[in-house]
Amino acid sequence: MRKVLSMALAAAMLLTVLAGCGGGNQTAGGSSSGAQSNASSGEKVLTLSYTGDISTLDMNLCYNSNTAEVLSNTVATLFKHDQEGKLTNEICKDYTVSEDGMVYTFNLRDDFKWSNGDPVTAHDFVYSWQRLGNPNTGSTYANYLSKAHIINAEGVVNGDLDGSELGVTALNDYTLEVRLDRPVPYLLTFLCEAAFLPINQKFQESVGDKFGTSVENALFSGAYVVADWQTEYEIRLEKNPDYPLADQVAIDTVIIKIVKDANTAVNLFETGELDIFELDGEQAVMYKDDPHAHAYATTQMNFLVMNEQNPILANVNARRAISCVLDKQFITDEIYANGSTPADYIIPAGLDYDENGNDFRTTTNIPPATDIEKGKEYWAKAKEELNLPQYEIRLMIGDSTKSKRLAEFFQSQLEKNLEGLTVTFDYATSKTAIDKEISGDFDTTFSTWGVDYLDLSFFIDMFTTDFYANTGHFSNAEYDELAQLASGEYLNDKEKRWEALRRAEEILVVEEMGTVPIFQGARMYLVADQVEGYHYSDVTPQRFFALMDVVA
Amino acid sequence: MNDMTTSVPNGSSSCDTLDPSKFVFVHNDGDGLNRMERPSFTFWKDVKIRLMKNKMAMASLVVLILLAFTAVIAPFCSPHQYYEQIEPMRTYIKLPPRIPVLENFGIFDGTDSAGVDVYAERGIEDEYFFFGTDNLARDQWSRTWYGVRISIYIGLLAAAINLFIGVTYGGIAGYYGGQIDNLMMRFTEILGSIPDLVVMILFLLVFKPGIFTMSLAMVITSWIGMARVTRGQVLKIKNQEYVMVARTLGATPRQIIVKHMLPNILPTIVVAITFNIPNAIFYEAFLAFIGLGLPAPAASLGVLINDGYTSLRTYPYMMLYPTLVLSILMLCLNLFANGLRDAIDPTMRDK
Amino acid sequence: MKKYILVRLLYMVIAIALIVSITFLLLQFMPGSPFNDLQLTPEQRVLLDEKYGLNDPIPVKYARYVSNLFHGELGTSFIFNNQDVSDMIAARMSSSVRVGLQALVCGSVIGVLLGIVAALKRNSFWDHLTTIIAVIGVSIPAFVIGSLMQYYFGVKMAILPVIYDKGNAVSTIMPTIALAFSVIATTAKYMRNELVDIINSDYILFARSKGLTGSEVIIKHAVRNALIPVVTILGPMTISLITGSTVVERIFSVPGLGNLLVTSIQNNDYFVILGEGLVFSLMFLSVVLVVDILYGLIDPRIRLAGGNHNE
Repeated sequence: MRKVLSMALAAAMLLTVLAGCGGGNQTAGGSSSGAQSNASSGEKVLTLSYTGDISTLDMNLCYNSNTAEVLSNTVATLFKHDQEGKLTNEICKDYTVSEDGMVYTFNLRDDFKWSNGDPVTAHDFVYSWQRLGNPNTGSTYANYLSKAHIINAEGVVNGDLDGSELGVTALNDYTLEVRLDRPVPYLLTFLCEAAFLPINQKFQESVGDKFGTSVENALFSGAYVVADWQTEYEIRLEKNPDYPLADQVAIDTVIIKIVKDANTAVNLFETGELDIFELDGEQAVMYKDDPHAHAYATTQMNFLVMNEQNPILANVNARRAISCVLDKQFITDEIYANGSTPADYIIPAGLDYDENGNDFRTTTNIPPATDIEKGKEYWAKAKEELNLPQYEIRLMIGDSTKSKRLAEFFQSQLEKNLEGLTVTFDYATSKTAIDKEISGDFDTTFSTWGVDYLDLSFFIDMFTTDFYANTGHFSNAEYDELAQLASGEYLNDKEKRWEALRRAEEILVVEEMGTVPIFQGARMYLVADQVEGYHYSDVTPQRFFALMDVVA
Repeated sequence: MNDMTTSVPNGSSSCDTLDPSKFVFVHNDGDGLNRMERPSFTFWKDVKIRLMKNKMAMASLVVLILLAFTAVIAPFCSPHQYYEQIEPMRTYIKLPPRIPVLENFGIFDGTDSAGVDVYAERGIEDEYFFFGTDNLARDQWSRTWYGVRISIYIGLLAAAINLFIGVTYGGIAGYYGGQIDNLMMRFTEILGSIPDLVVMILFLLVFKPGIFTMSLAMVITSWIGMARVTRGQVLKIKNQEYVMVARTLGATPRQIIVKHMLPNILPTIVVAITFNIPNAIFYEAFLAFIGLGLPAPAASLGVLINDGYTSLRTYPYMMLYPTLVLSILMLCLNLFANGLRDAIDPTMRDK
Repeated sequence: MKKYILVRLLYMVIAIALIVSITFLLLQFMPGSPFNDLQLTPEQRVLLDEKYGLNDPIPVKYARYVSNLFHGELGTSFIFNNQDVSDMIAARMSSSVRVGLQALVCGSVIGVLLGIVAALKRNSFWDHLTTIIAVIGVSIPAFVIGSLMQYYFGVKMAILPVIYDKGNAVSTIMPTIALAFSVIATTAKYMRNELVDIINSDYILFARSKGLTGSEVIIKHAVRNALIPVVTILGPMTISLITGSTVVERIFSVPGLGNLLVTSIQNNDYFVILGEGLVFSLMFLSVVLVVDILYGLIDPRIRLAGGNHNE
C-alpha cells in the first residue's frame, strides 16, 4: 500500500515537473536577452556577461573592476571619457588650476539629480571622499586619496586626522576645491575612479551600513540606473530619464549576466544571447581570426616577481638566466592569446606622449631579452658564484587552468635550459598568496598589475626600496633616486623626467633584472555585428555604455 | 507486513489431478540421505567457480588486466615522456591523433575539425601521436597511460580505505547497535558536515603536496558513505533468522560475522565500492586543482579530463581519449563487480 | 518512538553546535584574510582587521558569533560588502532546491524503474543496459555531460535554453538531466541488487508457492522491501544535489549554494562559510533523521532504539 502511494506520489511530482516545462514553453532564445528584443519592442538592449558578480553599490567600498564599471555608468562624476579615452565633461562644467598645479577648482553643473530627486552638489563629493578615507568605513581603496596627493590624505586614512582635515572643500553648492601636496599630472583621469564618486549624505546616513547592499539601498545619478540586481545572476541597467545628457545615450537597457564558465559564454554568444564576450585562453585561440574579434591594448603589465631573499635569486646572473630562457612569445600566443604583447620592458605603452605625439615607449632602447645560449652562460656563471649543493626554486601559483599551464610551461623551459635547476609548485588561493608574498614565503610568482593612475612613474615606484608591495625586495640606490626625482623635482620638466625614467627602467630590467617582464596585457572581445561604439578604456568606466549603440 | 495469508486463492486442490506414474520412489536409506548432490566447496572456491562461469565478468576482467598491462608498458613504447614538452613547441602543439594503419581509413589521420592535415602543414609527416598532443606539446598517449596508472592507484586506495575503515566502522556500529551505534553514526554526521574544502586548505598548510598527502586527504573524507551503507546492511541482516539460529547454536560473534553476515553484506559492499572508485578519481582531480594532488606535471585521468575540458570546443580529442579510457575502465570494473556480486550472493547459489 | 525522536533531536542540536564550533575553529587557522589585496598598505590592513574584529582573541570572536546566532543573525559578508549572510543564502536557496529536487525526483523514479526491469530480467539485455547507463552516469563527470548537452541542444539544435533562467522552467531541463545521471546510476544499481536479493529470498518463494502471481508478488512485497536501502541513500544524496553541484551550477549559470560555498572559501569570507555550513548541516541532519525514522517505520525488523536486545 505504502509502496503504491509513494510511487504515485513520485509519478505525480514528475508529471508536475513535466507539466511545468510544457506550460512555460518558450523558445530556446530565452526570455530576457540580447538584440532579439530589439525588433519586438523597439528598445535597444545590450547584453554582456561578467565572470564575477559586482560586490556592492557603495562607491567607497568598491574593490573590483566590474563593480567600478557598473557604478561609474550609473553615478555621475566630474568627468567621463570618449571612445578614444579622452576626457569629456560630465558634472564638471569647467575647472581652473593654480600656477603651481596644486589647487584645482571645479565648477559643477546644477542639473544633475539623484534618483530620489535630490540635486548632486559639491557637498556630495566632499562627503564621499571624507568617508572614503575614514578607517571606520573599511574601504580597500582609501589610499587612493594619498595617491591623488590630496593634502592630509595619509593622516586621514591612517586615522590620525579627522576627515574634515582632508584637502577637499565645497566652496559653495556647485564649486569643488581640491588641494594637493604636489602637482599631480594624472589627477583628472584619476578622479574618474569609482572610489571618488559622489555620495548623497542624507540618504547614506539613513540606510547606514546597508548602503549599497541592494538596489533599494543605493542612489543613482548617471547615464543609467540599476533597475535590478540579483546576486550571481543578473544586473539590469536602464537609461536614466533624468540624466541631463540623456539625448546622447542611445542604448535603453543593458543586461549583464553573470556567466562563470567560458564555454557557456561562447555558447551564449553563438545563439545570439550575448552581444559581447571576452576572449581568453582557449577561446581566444579559437576565435582569434574571427572578424568579430577585437583586441584592445591596456596598460596592464604581467611580470615575474623574484624574491631576492632567496639565495639563488639574490644572484643577478641567475635572474638574468631566467629572463633569457623564457619564450614570452609562446606565452602570449598560446597561453593567453588575447592580443597581449610580449614585453621586455616594465613601463607600458599608452601612458604618456611627447609634443610630437610619440609614446614614451618608442623612445627607449631595451634589447630583446630572449637568448637561450646567453641564458645558459649566465646560469653557469651563477652556479660558479653560488656553489650550492642543489638548486631549487618554487613558483607560487593560483587556482586557474591558465596559471597552471603557465606554470608548467615555466617549469619545463627553466628545467630544460638551466641545468641542475628544479622548479616546484607552491599552490595558494589568491588570498593566501598575497599573505605569502608579503611575508616573503615564496620564491617566484607571476604578478599582474594594471595602473591605478595613468602615469609613467607607477611601475617604477613599485620597485623602490620602501614600497610596501615591493615583495621581491629589489633595492638599488641609483634607481631609488631616479624614481624620486621623476615623482618630485622633475614633474614639471618632461624631458628630464623621461630621461630619469628611461635610466631607471634600464637598471630594473636590463642591468639588475629586478623583475622579468612577460607581457603587456590586452583584452580581446567578440563583438556582435549590431553593436557600435564598443571600446575598452583605461579610464573608468572601462566601457561607458552611453557611448555605444545597438543597430538592428 | 506480508499479508499473504489473506491472498491465497481458495480451492486450489491440485493434489487430485496428479498422476502417480510420474513419481519415482526415492530410497530413503542412510546412503541416500548423506549423498551429496554436488561436491561441496569452501565458500571462496565456490565463489571462484561461479565467477568463472560468468562470461561477461571474465571478459571484463581480461580487459581490465589488459588495460593495466598497457598502462605499465605503453609509456615505454613512446619516444616521449609524459612530462616532456616537445621542442620546438610550436610545431608539436595541439596535434590531432594519428595512428599508422588506421589513418588510411579516414580516422585518426591527423586532421583537425576543419579537415586540415596538421601534420603535413607542420612538416612532421613521419611522426605519429596516437592520441595527439596537448596545449603544451606533450604526448597525450604517454600522459593518458601514465594517468591510468595513477587512477588505478587511486581506485585501489579508495577501495582499500572504504573496505578497511568504512566497512569496519559501519560493521561495528551496526552489529553492536544501541548507544554505540548512535554515537558512531552521530560522529560520522558531524565529520561529514564540515566543509571538505576548508579541511583541504588547512591540509595544504601543513603538508607538502604528494602521494602521501593526497592519500591522507582521501582517507579523511571518503569512508563515511561506505560506513553508512554497511551499517544499514548489518542492521538488516542482524535480525534475520539464520543469524538468530547461529547464535542459539552457540556461534561466537566472530563466526557469525565471518560465516554468515559477511557473505550477505559483501555483494552490496562490492557494488558500493565500485561506485566509489570513480568518485575517488574525480575527487583526486579536484584535489589536484587546489594543489593537493600529485605535483604537476604528473597527471591522473581526472586531471587530464579537467584540463581537456577547457579545450572542449576547439580540440575535443584532448578530453575525449582520457574520458574513453576512464569509461572503459569503469565499465569493465562494474561488469566484473556485477559478476563478483552474483557469485558471492549465497541466495543465488543454484541459478 | 517519540522518545527516540526527541533524543535524536537533542543529538541534532548538539551535533550542529559541534559542527559550527569545529568549523569556526578551523577557519581561524585558515591562512589569508578576506582583505588581502596588494592595494592595501600594511597600515590599512591593520585598521581593517581592527574594524571587523579579526584580530581579537579567538574566544572573544567565538562568543560574539554565538551571541549573534541567538539573535538570528548569521553575520555579514566581506566579499559582498555588508550584505546579510542570511539574505544571500535565502536568495540562492530557491534555485539550488529547484534544480536539485527535480534531479532527485526524475533521477530516482527513472532509476527505480530501470532497476526493477534489470532485476526482473537478470543478465539480459536490459540488465546490461542498466549497467552501462550506471557506469556512464558515474564515470563521465557531470560537467562533461552538461557541456555536451549545452552545446548540442542549446547551440547546434537550439531547442533548449543555454543557461538557467529563473522565469523559464524549460531552462532547468539540462541542469536537471546533468545532475540526474548520477542519481539514476546509483538508484538503478542499488534497486537492482536489492531486488535480486529479495526475489531470491525465502519469503518470496513462499508467496509464489502459495500461488501469487508474479507481478503481485513483485509490486506488493519485493519492491517495497527493496526500496528501503534505496531510500537510505537517497537522503544524503538529496543534500549533495542541492548543495554540492558546483560544476553544473557553473556551466548553466545557476545562482546556487554550491558556487557560493566555493567562492567564499577561496576568499576567506568567514561568515558566509559558517552560515552555509550551518544551513547545510541542518538540512543534512534533518534528512538523515527523517530517513532513519522512515526506515524504522517501513521495516519493523529494524529496531529504532538500535540493536538487538538479546546480545
